[in-house]
Amino acid sequence: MSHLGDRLSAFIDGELDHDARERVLVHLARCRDCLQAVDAERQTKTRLTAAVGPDLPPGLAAKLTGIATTSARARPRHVVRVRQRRRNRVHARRRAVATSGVVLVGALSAAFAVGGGPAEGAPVTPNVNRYTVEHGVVSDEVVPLSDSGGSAVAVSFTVPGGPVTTAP
Amino acid sequence: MMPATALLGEERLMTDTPASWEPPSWDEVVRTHSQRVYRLAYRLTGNQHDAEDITQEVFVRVFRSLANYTPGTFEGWLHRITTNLFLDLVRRRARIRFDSLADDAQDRLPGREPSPAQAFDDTHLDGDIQAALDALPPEFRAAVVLCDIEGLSYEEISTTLGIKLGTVRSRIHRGRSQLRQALEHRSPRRMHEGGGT
Repeated sequence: MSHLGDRLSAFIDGELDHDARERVLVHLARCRDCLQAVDAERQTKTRLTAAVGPDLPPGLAAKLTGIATTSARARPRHVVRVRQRRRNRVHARRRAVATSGVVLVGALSAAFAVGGGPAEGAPVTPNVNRYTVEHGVVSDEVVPLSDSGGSAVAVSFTVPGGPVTTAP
Repeated sequence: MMPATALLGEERLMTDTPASWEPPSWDEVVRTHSQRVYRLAYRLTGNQHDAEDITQEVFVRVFRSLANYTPGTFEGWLHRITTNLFLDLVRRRARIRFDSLADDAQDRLPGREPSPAQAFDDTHLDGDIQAALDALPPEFRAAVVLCDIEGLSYEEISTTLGIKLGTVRSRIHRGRSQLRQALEHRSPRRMHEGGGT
């Protein structure tokens, strides 16, 4: 019996790391039994390695090639499906990356629209008008204003410098 | 900011996609791999009939999933399918044998008598080797065959059989020593039978 156990096989197969291999070599240098065991197992391995495998039996190659015909219906559909899926996946990823900005913008505006929905209208228009008028006051200009209906409106107000009238 | 991210993603996508690879033609697959698969199946099962069945089943499976296959793994894949089909076959037979032991087991036990075809093969191959392999427990046989006949590393065998490296090592060791004993028992007999000439 060998002292090496299954390290013997691993040694023969070159599957030991450097240190383990060194230790086996040291042991083999002074253990005749193990050296013989290594020889014997190596011979077995060599015999297996050298054994000629059987040839394909006649007709088997044709049967194997025929699998493509037997399953011919399954294949193209399957291949197409898989390829299509793969392509779709690639496209989807590409689209996802390329349009992520648009989606983000879209999501933001949607959120804005939803958020601003209930309060829409009233607060916005007066503000614009006021800023325009204030601008007019600050710049001392006569600012024409028109509402959505198109009719001209005259706005007058007072500033420290005196009355200013805006006219159509 | 947004376009930069998009560009980076696009670029990464381009380099990651193996656009150039196309699956080989079916004839090519059969031509390249059938001999190897059959040989492995034969070494594992020990007879032409089972080896043919397994080989066909392997190729049916390969055919079905050819489109899913990624390059560089073909041989490992074939080893795995072939070996697993063999082990499935062994387990199925063991179950049948066990089930039938209750009644007329003796009549239905699948014999290990070599068929004429097998006897023919055996005279043309190393019959002693095959007989010694057949005598091994299937799990040991698979490990030894993958190692010594297919030339796989322990790591590859571990992946193929789904077992730990330590298990691979001990199966190969035990398989090989049983094999050696079987060969030692057979060799003198053969020499005697052959008349030593």
